[in-house]
Amino acid sequence: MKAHWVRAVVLLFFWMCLFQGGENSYAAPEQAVAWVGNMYPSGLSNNILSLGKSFTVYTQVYEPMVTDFSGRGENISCTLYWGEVDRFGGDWNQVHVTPMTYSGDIGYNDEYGVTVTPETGLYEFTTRCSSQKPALVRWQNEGNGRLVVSPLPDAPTDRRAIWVNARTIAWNQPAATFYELHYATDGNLLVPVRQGEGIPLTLQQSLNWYSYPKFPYLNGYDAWRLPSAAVAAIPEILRSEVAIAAYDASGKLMDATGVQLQGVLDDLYSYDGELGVIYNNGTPTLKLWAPTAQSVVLRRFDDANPATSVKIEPMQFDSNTGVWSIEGNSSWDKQYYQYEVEVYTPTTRRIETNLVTDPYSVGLSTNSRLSQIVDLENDPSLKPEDWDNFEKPPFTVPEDMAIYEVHVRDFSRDDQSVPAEHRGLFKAFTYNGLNDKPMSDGMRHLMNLAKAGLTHIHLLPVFDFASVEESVDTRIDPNARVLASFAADTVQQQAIIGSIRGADSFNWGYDPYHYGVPEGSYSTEPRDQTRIIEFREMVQALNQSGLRVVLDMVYNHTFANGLYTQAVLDKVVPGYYHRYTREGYPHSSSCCADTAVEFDMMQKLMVDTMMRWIKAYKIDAFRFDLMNLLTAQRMIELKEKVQSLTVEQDGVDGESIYIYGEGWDFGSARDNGFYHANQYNMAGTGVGTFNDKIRDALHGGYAGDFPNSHRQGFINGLAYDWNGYFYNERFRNDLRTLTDRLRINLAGSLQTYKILDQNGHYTEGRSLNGAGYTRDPQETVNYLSKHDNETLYDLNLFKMPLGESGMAVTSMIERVRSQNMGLSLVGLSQGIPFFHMGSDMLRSKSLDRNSYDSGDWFNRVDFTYQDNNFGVGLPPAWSNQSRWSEMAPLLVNPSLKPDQHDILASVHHLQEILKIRQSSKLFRLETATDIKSRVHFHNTGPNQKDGLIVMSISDDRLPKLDPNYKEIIAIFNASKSTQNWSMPSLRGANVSLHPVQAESYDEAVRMASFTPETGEFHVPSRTTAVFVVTE
Amino acid sequence: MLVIQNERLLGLLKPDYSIGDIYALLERLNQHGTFEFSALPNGLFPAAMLTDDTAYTGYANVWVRDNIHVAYAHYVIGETDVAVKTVQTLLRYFTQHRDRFDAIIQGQADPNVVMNRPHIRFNGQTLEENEEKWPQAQNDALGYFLWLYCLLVRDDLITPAIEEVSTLALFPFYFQAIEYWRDEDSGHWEETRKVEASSIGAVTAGLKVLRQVHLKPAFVNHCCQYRGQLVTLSLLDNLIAKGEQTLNAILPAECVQPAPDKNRPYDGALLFLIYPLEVVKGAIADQILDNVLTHLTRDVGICRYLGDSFWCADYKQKLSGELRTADFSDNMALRDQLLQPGEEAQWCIFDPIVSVIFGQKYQATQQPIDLQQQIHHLNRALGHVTGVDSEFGGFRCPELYHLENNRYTPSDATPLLWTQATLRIALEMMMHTLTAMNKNSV
Repeated sequence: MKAHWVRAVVLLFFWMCLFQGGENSYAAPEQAVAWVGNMYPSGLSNNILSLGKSFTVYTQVYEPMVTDFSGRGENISCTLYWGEVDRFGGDWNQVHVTPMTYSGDIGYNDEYGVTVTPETGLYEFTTRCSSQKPALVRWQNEGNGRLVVSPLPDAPTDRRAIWVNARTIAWNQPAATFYELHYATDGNLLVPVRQGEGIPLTLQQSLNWYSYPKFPYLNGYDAWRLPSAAVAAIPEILRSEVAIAAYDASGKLMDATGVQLQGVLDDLYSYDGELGVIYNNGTPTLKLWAPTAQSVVLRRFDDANPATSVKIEPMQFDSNTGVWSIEGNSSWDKQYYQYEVEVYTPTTRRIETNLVTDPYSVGLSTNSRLSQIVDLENDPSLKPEDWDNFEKPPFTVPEDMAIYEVHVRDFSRDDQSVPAEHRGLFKAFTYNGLNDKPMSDGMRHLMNLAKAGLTHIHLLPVFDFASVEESVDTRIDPNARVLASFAADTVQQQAIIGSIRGADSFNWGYDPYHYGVPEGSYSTEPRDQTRIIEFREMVQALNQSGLRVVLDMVYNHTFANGLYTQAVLDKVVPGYYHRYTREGYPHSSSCCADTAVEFDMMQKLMVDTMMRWIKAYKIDAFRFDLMNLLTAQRMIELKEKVQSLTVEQDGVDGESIYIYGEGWDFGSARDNGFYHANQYNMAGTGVGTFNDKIRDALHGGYAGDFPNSHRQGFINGLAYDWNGYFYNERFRNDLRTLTDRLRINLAGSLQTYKILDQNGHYTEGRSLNGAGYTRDPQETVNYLSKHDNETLYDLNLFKMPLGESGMAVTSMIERVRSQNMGLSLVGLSQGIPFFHMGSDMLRSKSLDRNSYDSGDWFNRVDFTYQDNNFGVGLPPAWSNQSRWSEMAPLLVNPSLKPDQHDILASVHHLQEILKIRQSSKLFRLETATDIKSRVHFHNTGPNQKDGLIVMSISDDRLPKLDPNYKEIIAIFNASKSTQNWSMPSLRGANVSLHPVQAESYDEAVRMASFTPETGEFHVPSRTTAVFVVTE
Repeated sequence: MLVIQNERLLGLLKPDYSIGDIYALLERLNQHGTFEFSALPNGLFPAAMLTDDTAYTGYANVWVRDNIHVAYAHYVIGETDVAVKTVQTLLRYFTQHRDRFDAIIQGQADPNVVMNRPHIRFNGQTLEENEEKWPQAQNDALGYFLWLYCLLVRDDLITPAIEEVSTLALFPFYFQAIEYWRDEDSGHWEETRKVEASSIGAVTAGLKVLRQVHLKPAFVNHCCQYRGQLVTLSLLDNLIAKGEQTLNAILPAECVQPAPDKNRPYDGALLFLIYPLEVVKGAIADQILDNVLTHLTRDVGICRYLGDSFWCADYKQKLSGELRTADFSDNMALRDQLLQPGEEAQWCIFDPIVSVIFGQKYQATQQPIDLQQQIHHLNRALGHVTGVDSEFGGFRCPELYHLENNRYTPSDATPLLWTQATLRIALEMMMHTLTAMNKNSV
């Protein structure tokens, strides 16, 4: 107990000092108890409390023969003294005296406690106990405790304020009186609860949609202006944890939030120079844009071996551009590097030290662990023979294009005519029968298409993506023989694939890691520059095979963000490259965090890497994945930039580069108030968009689960061959509504093309449920299937009647003809036709509707045309399990498995259609005016024959476009019976079946005929017949 | 495909109906006079409501068959007095012309001369026969009459007088005399004479109901003798057996005679044996139905049979008015040469019957597909109702749609009372189905 007495003596001194300021007479001494102490939270402790939460203080008291018995000692009472202060250590503004209650024995001591709920502010507190017999009083003697009560006791986790330019911050918090900006360079910001410690902000204006084009959604926000005196501190602030705070009239904190910095970073540091690895006469300089970094260090490695020691090189910061740079020497060539970036990171709210590759990487080691220093432009060892001089296939105008969508691994993984070591790789495309290379089955298929009129091969992502292990030794692929041993409707195949899919060789690749480097898993050696050489070999081989190359770019999202392993951008400039919600959290409109091209440096990254693909890899066109997550303005700028390229200055004619993308109507760009790059907003820009109008009109659309998967379209029976679902769409006017829309699609989906609709009115395409949305034919990429969703063959298995419940039974011949009808309608529509690889081979994925990670097994393609891959097991559970019960009976039905003859019927059909398209410029009209004046539809209006489209394209005006034909009549008879159509104006005319179809592989097509005496055409069921009129 | 001629009905057509929905449909159709059955004062119905332009069709005449279908529709919807008046007038007509029966029963007239047969098409106003040559050998019509008359007797809606019973007694002896089970007649479609299941079935149906009423004391008291011959149960059973025996041999075909102009595997008329005559049931009924759906059903309506040249494409351009409805029964080839395969006229009288048949199946099986089909064929039938821009006026029930200038167009027999009758029955039976469903769900 001696210790207690010592403390009591000390307390005598302290209590005299306790309430500084002289007015605190309430602390007049009484008789002291033996000891008071052990206050918890202790004296001098700093405590932070959320506003509205309770705060409990305990204290202990000792009095001999009173507290050392069990239970509460008699005649003892304790009290909490607490009061608000303007600053800790200052005067108490007022004192609250709150009695404490006995809470238990702690050894010989009694413990008392009390809970209070203070308002926002700074508080000090202490405790006192007293006894009546004898009358004694004691204060705890460890100093006053300190308490901060704040509506934001931690630094804000959200970022609701937007720093739009150097002097302006937007925030929609109008209720306060004072506004301040606070920051902490150490990343440990505590927003003061009392006004006066931060940078004062003044109200500037209220914003509208147009105030700041990069932030249209700030409409209605207030703009707060920084004082001039703070301008010099802005760079330091941007390297710090930052918050904006609002205080009420009494100066107390009401609200605070973090700040999104993209606007101010663009304003101060937007940079138009080169980034990444820049060679100057063999000397590389490395540049990294990182204006918010507190430090950046280069970590350089002689080789890609993980055991190789690192050389640390400091980098220089340019405060004008935000760029960190270092000049190396020629010995650095082919070496590897990464950056060590020390930077405040909003997601963790601390200063992080990140090891990260270069967003502008030119080369990479295996699995993108390190960036590589290579001279892409000048190093001859990176170029295949004749790379600088070989001739590309000629390009005329976008409307002459015809595109085939290919996945690199699908293309050759199972092609036995490709050497095993090159299957599934870039190298496989070099087996084109040229340059002493044999011809593979796959390349023969592509070259036959090229001869027929195909112009472009669209490659699914081939930039560096994150979802496939690049080291062959580390991958695990299933044994195909084992998979083949299971029945067609069993779960084993997908179960095996599912167990290893994280480690197998297959993924579509929509998982961007580095935008400017070829994917390593498609090269024979992913650890070095081999991928660059082999990618170039692929491009060269395809070009020499008559095919230009399209890259599928995924600039709309990154695979990872924040501090995740495969994040890059957020480790360099955290919070800059992605698009955020009003609350400051990443938008994820697709799988992952959306990027934000509205900001300069994201746009620059996109433009610069595209330029690299164009100039250094000779890429001819680009497909933008979810382009609608980008802004229309940025796409226009990009297109203008590309088109400005000239052969003289850049080695490339920018006019020959075609850009198209997915222009759907959803996502963060739209939600944030931008004119997003959707179909309608891109009309008139020359940028193409995938046309889901024609797709859905043709096959009824993708709509997921039962019964929506059974919705029908023009080619597979809507109304005319009902499958038992969607009775409400079984009406003739449904078919006619859809057929009217399809006519618009055949006419380039022009907004202003007019037809006589089923109601007898002349109606523009845009009024037909938006079927017409383009202003120029090059703006529609016509398709009916691609890598997404089911293959066309699989889709039709759900859509065409199966004989259930009294419906018709669809024969295999009908299935083939339906598929071919779809290919015809796409191929002969004005605009740019696009075909999924294998859509001309009845390709099946065993009903898989999302094969992005379904392994090689479900994605196989057989270029010997013997098998279409139908019935190889229930498709993977992760995308399909909800439909397994419906799928199983289909998969085991032998009548649904086509044979080689069936497959060949489709193979030949697409080639014939491409030849027909190629044979006349009339199928490839270049202007809306031409289409309106030359393309006409017959069999329209209220008396039209159902399931029959009759389209004529005339060459009866100047300029003459076709030296052979004065008119072409394409008749699409989707119905199940032969249809006749009479054109009296052609009585006696010289009309014949198109020469390609006169020799058609398809006997039914050859039977299509014209009777000159009556002017009547006769077209068999489910048949496309093209007739030509000659002089 | 569902072809809806009248877009004003589109909003009322549904994949699933409630009783209220059917009432709404009936109300809309009644508002527009779709179910106006303008009878002659004597209760008979002309085949079609004609204008000066369409009078050439001859459809102002009265057909026994059509009258039975119309009368039966009234019976189904509860307007039994209308049905009674119709069949009583028909009986009066037959009584007035019983000499036709007598002559053939007694062998005094050659039944192969078709004008010697009891006439089934006559002047409804006067109940006089027409002199115009017509394929009057249509046993089905007599069978229909016998069937409905006896049905109404069975239900005590008619109590026949002595004279009436004596006329009824003519029918079994007449059928016996012509050996109806192997008699070649022109049947439902008034064309080439052949041994037709649809006619044999109709007669069998009539005889079966006659057998039922034969057991009623009030009927037996007056019955059963014709010139000394008794109409006994055994006579009826024997006749019925012969009919059924032949039906078993022919069905599901209409005619199995080998001659190409007679042989007919599928015919819409066979549907009537399933409903309303109910002489064919079970698997053979299913086969008939399946044949019709598979081979005769088209986008708009249902063909009578494959190769039917009546109102073939551009019929009015190919034939003069007087020839369009002329008697081709002796030389069908003349008309058949006008037909291109697949361009047969699509009739409107069948879909309602198919709907009812599926409704009966549904009530028996509770299979959802049967209900779905009942609704679908009802909707198809409603789709036949003319649009407001039709030359015949809107909301009318045509006899058929045929190709005219590449467009399916109603024939001039619009509105046809037979079609009105079957559509009205189909709506009524839809109501029955829905009522039964409600009861079941309770």
